[in-house]
Amino acid sequence: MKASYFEKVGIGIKTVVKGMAKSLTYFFKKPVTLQYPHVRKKIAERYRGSIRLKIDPETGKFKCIACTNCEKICPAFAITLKTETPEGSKKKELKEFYVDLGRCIYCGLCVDSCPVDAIEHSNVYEVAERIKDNLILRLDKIGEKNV
Amino acid sequence: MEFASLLNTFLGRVILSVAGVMIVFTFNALIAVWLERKISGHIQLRLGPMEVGPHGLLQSAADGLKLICKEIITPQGVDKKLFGLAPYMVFFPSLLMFVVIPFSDKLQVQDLNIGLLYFFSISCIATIGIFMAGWASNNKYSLMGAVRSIAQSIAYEIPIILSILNIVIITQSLKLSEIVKAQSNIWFIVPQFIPFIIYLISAIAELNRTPFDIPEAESELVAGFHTEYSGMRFAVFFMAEYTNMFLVSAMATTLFLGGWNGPILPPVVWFFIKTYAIVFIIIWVRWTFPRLRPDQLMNFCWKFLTPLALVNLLVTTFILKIL
Amino acid sequence: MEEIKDIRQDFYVNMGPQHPSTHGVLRIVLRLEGERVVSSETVLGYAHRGVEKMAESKTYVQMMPVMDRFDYVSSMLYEWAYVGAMERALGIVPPERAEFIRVIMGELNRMASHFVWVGAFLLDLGAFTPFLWVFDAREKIMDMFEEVTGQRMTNNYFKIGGVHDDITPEFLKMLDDYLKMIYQRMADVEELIESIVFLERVKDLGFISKEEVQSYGLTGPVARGSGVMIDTRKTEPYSVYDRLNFEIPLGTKGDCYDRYRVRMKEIIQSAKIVEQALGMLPEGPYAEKAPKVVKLPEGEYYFAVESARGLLGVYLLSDGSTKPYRFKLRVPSFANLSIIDKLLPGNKISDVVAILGSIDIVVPEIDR
Ligand code: SF4
Ligand code: SF4
Repeated sequence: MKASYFEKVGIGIKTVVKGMAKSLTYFFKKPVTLQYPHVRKKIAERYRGSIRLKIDPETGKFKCIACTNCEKICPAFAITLKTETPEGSKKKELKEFYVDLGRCIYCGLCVDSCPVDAIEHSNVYEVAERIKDNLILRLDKIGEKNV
Repeated sequence: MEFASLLNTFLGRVILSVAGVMIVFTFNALIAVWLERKISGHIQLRLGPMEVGPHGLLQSAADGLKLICKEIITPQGVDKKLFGLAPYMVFFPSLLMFVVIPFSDKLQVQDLNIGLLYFFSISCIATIGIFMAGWASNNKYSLMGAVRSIAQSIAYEIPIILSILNIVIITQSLKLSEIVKAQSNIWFIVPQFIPFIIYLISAIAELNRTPFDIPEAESELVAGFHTEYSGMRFAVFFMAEYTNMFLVSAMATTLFLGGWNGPILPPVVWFFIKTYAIVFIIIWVRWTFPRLRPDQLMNFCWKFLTPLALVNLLVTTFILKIL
Repeated sequence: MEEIKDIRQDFYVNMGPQHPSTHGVLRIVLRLEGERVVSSETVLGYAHRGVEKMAESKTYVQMMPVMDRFDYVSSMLYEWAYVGAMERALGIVPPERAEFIRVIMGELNRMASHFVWVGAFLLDLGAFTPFLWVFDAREKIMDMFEEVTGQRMTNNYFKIGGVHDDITPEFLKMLDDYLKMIYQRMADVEELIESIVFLERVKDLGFISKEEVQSYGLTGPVARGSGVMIDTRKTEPYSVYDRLNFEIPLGTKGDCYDRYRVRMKEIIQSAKIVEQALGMLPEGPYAEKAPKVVKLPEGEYYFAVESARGLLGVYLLSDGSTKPYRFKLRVPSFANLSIIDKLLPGNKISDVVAILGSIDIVVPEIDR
């Protein structure tokens, strides 16, 4: 399929003109990008952003029952739980709940594994920090970063 | 009165010219880079720079500032003298080339008798700078880029010269102002359309821009001859590139688009409008095509452009002889 | 005067591991004679993470998100292979609706992967614009993924017995709009790309014969570009592919251009499959009930799907516990890359990137 010299010139001129015309039509199209910090995209409802603990609206307390399922299943070892069994009761209680966003891979396994639906993903995706330690969030305290 | 007398002294002319050239140079460095970014952005469904200045107009200035602030790194094992000298060897010829550009009937640094010849001879010096950069860098990619660059500019000088020879034959002059005056009735792009295209293609090749950017082919040779350059030295290469883009467009305007000729608006404005129209085309081409392979580049030059230019030259002389 | 006897000087160039067009951390040592490649040697291992070993200390469920991280551009097809192997072991058959959702998601992912390829290939050849045009098309797929799966790239959407969530009406609307624009966009991209410069660069370059396809074990678009009909979706249909009507585009000569054509046509075919699957989408549950603690019965299990790059197989050897005894992947890129040292010699250095690009590798899946 070796095209002859003049055939090739013909193909060349045709394709070059076509390509140039195409790029010019796109030049006049509306850009699709967003000016990020000024304009933000709508985040999907199911979006798996940073982890947070749910609060029971009736009691106003965290729903978590400190079963440590999420800690066990997390493939990235991002969750650390400290539990405590108060005197006189059999049930464990949540003392400290840490999640290391630097390790978290936003996989959603912890959310799936929770028996009482106490943990969820928020829609927060801007979690960059200057200091690595700041990425370790304590979720059982409503702090500045817990959204 | 004072001003007019200053104009007449030699020193005054030199100072004014240097100032004028620097103004055009700076203006172009800002505008051309901005245009490149904006046009490429819009072709690619993006917006391009938007933050610094209105519509990102000052982005290039900000980038220049950043590059100036960077440390000048001289890698180990380079030939220090050549390595440091190379960017300026590329840069200064482009400043010198401003000398003959006729911005309008009065605005021209020096209307040399051999203006055209001067322009294209000076433009060849830059190749030596590129080769110096590649040779001195002590880097295989740079060396390969430099070798490619030499081969390319030797090849593409020929169609350029052959295509502008048509103009010289018609006007019987190498003086740029006269060439422009000869176009007051009809621009040379009309009778000489094919040489215009040849000139444009070869000029893009001389500029090392896609689809002919083999000396700096970034997906093959990392960055070609300026792989090892950073900071201000890189900025100098970069500015030289955009200044050269302006210069070849200005030359295309002068030779084919009637230079400063045009109704109503002042001549300088016409000149810049036409020049930036050519700049637009060059940028547009860059963001449309992939890169050629070096051997295909040579084939294209020797087997297509040069014969075409020769045939065209023959036809032109023939017609002129008959008339 | 002895030394200058051999004026022909070969020299070595290290292409990679940090190079703009080796797609990650692949390293190719090229022996060059001027611009011509005399011989080459591919060096792997810069992204080796020992995932196959790691799988032995992770439970089956914990491995799920890791499956996304081999071939990050077509991650759901990887999930499919893994989930398929486990379903085969457990004897679970996912409901109809789940299968169709999987097909839709898988084909969208294949399209997204091919888009990345087209863009990167043209980028290697020096054209920047097609990259962003196809990335716009890909970005819309990513938006749809975000809507349904909750994540743009590492989706973790497939579950044993079905999928994690049902598709939403919003997704259907987005998909409808998408299918309307994609054919036009593909035609535009093709028109832009196929200029004489591109054709000259990729035609008659890097021939792979049918025999080589067999002896090197090549699969996917690389094999199909040479005219060999290997496609798990047709030769060994899984899921509901046997009920869908689609073509497998084949090349004739086996050069870079054929491989490019095959992929471009596959994008169109995938869009057609999505359209069909959408029309056949039944009502019903989107997931079968899966055991809470996943324990595969003792034995070996293998499941193969057609990933965007070729045959992808997951092999699990179970000793009955919650963790696999051995986990092995058969990845397409690794086999496909093996032919590169055969293709490169004799070509110019500019062709190296074109040939490497036409093979379409993803380094994390090669090195694992
Ligand atoms: S999302 Fe995944 S990685 Fe992150 S904390 Fe939950 S289980 Fe761990
Ligand atoms: S799985 Fe749920 S209940 Fe258990 S520790 Fe985690 S958040 Fe708390």
